[in-house]
Amino acid sequence: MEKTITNEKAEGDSSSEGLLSIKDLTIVYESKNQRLVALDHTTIEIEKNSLIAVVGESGCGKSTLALAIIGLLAIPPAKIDSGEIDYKSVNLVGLKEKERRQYRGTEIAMIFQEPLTSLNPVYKVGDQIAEAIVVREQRKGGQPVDSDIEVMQKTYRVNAPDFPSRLPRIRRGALAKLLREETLDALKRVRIADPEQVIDRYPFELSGGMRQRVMIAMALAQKPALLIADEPTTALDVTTQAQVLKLMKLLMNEVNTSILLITHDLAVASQVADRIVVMYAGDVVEDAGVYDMFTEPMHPYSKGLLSCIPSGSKEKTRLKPIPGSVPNLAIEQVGCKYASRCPNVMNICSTKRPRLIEAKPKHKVACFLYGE
Amino acid sequence: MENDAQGVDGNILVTTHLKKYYPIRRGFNPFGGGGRRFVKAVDDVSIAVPRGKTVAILGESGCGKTTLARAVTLLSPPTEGEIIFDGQNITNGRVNYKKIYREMQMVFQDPDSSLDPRLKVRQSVAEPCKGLLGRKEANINSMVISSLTAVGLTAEHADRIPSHLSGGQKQRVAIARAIAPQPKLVILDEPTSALDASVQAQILNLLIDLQKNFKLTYIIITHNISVAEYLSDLLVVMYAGNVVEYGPSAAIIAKPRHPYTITLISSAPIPNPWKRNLLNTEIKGEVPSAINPPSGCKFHPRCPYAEKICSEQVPELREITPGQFVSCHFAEKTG
Amino acid sequence: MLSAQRTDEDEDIVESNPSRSVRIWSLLSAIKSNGGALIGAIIVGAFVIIAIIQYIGQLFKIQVTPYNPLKQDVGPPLAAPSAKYLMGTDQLGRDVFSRVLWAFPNDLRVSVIVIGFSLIVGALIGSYAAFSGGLLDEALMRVTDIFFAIPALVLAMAIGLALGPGISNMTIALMIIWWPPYARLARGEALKISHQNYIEAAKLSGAGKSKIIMGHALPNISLTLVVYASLDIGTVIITYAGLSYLGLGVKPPYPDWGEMVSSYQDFMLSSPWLPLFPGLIIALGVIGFSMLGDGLRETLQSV
Repeated sequence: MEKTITNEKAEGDSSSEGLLSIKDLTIVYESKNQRLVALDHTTIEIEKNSLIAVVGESGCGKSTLALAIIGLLAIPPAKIDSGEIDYKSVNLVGLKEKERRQYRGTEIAMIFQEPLTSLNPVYKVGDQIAEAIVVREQRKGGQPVDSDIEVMQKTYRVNAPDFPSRLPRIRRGALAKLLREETLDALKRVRIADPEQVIDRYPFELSGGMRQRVMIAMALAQKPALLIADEPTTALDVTTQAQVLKLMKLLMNEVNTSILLITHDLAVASQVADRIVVMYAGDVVEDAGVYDMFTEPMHPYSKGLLSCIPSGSKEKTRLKPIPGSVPNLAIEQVGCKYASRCPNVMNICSTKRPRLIEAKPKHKVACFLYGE
Repeated sequence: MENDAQGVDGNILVTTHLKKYYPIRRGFNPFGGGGRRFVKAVDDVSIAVPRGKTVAILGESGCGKTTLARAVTLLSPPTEGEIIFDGQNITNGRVNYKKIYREMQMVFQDPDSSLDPRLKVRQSVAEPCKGLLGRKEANINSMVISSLTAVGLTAEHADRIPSHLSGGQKQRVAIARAIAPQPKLVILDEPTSALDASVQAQILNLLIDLQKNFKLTYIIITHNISVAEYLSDLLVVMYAGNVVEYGPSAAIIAKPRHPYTITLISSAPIPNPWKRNLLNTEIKGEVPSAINPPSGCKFHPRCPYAEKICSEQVPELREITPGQFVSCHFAEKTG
Repeated sequence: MLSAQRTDEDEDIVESNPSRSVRIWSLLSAIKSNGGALIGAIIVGAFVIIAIIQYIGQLFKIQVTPYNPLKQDVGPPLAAPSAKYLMGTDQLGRDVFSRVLWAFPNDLRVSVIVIGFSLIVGALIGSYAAFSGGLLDEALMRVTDIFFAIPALVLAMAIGLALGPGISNMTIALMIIWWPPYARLARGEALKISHQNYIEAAKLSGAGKSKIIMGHALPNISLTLVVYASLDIGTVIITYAGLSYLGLGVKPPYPDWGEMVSSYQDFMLSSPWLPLFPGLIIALGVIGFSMLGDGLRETLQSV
């Protein structure tokens, strides 16, 4: 059967190049009466062929980060105050929508938490994958990408004999057949057992795990360099989650994609990630290789998160929950945002904000315990 | 299974061959063949819950654990089978609901829908006291306050409405409401699934403290294996409406015997990057249909140990090691 | 000693999931913030105040209009609107403005009674159906459908023929057929909340069906129903105006907007203000209530 997944990249292979670089990104949500800082000077590097897990609880800004990268943030009320997202020497921040579309889907793809609402319920699953393929071909040919509606309509007309060929190098006659073959390939790639059946099914006829696989197939149909997965397994059963995570790791190597995994579950992150980025209230508080993170977690919040995970039985260990709660991001914070809950808090913590520093090689932390 | 079926001293709750079937209403079809069809949500479940202990019912979606909880509380009364609660058969004839609910309460999964959005906290917590105990005003007020204090909230919270509470606080209110009438048994349906990790830890600690101080018995429904392991003394693993494994939690999690339990445990993500068992588990197929389940052992289409007998005969729940029961023809092999 | 964690979450509460049941004062502030709702509220407020004044006047036989609305020849017939006769005079020399004022309570009374009745009956039938399920649910809904199928005007005319015209009889006719949409709406909303956990918790508190409906269901569905009702009042106004136009409403010489439109329409070309003013007032009333209702609905959806 499948060979076991290798962990080659886990140690932060120095030969891996950078793929996407988030520099000093600050995103705020502004409404009539308040200004909420969702991301606060966030800096993260994503390398090629690696799986980075961004871990944090609700409100830490991880979803905002994902949407900002792929350009699906609702602006307004969101506003990108400062910073850049560098992808292949292009700054994605401030791109016009038309230019955005060159990247969204082709280079950077995304899958979401709830597969039922991510798939269009009135189109067959196979057609939705074919749509993704059609868009890819259009982009390859340097053609301007049509708006979503037009693409979907084209996909349907593909099977009609009078389909006007706007796709380069795909001739009218063999078009439908080719698309179908590619779609079947996409389904096989996500290890769906009976692609001939599934291709003609509607989303509601499939289980949660299958739908998520279809989503992955759609995302990968365009062979993106980066796949963003926003809590992809939270809505799935434990056994299905394991299968989907396994699949994602496997495909990473097959398709040469990096994965940015957004999750609240540190355990899930530890099982699949090469590197873990811990976020708290809009800040990156720690950024380390997965083994480093678990050998020596540096930030008090990371340590707190680890001690929250129930393990063993209640007789032997008592959970040490983190006292207090996440600060209100609508109020301007002075000093370290974690200070009010930190067991190691010092005087300086309430006056200055700690910067993200490389306390050890390839292990960054934003905490005064490790210097300024 | 515990032999103490009457359970006056030993078990607070015993179910015997409990079944909950939901009939499917098909359109009028004069040519329709066969009998009525049912969704067999709970298909012959017999468990015993010892006093003062915590029993976790573990399973994935569709296994029937929530239906079981609702059947036991008579919110969805069982189609067949017996429930003996505190020595009394509550599936027999006329049932005094108020008497039962004085001793049995439930905490639900979603903190947002657990509380009436139009009622203040104190009104929500007072509801079971007013409805079940009928005490006087002053008494109820003090019961409400002491209940809120026990879960770590203050009198100030009592006058808030749910939209002014955080998720963790709402869940505390739900727990306060459940323990206010001073029940013996509390059933918790995924009490922490909707909460953040740090809040979850707080609530888990709270539940342990409450159990000690108020001598409660817990039945915890969950799909989270670490929560089940942490909180429970006994573990009931369910699959497609049946109990497939039952016994002391630590023993089962350390050495699961049923093939499904084995897969379940090894699929659970553990916070340990050196033990990436998750990536090495393999399970084929999908959860079976509850309308047309596989014959014999319902897990057989997905089981690596399956043989002919598995599709023909439903395996009995038998004791494989002292205290640990498995429903599998080949449990010896899986060890 | 219990070591339950004291949560210091309170200072930092960001309102999580604000519920749809907004309180009265926040409803009022919502009206203020929405331009349309504000205009609607002003118009409705004016209508209500005028109606109340007129009703009290009629009750105690005090004249609260510039001229006696029933008296003929208070001025020259068919006089155009002027400072003296704000809406002119009709063919019998009566002051149109006084007549319009006098008729205020009619339409509004009918609306309030019909809508009030529909709200109560609809809410009860709908929520009982939702929480009973099965046969009772089916039965109640089929009864609702039967009443739904009766056309308003036809029934009103039948009643007018059988019992005679008049505001009370028309009110009864409208009450009979107006409630079904409320029952449907109430049932839908009640079904939505019947699956909420707090309903289950209420059952675990020993509450029976009635207690659950009265204590939990009705309060939580009331807002949706009230918003629908506020949009609906305009419809009652115009329906009753239509019945009155057909001669089934308040009998002459007592003024009634619809009836005025009907009897003045012959003068449309020579003295256009005659049918115009009562018609405008009807339209203004409907618009006012609609804007208010729309604004309320917008506020609900944005929450």
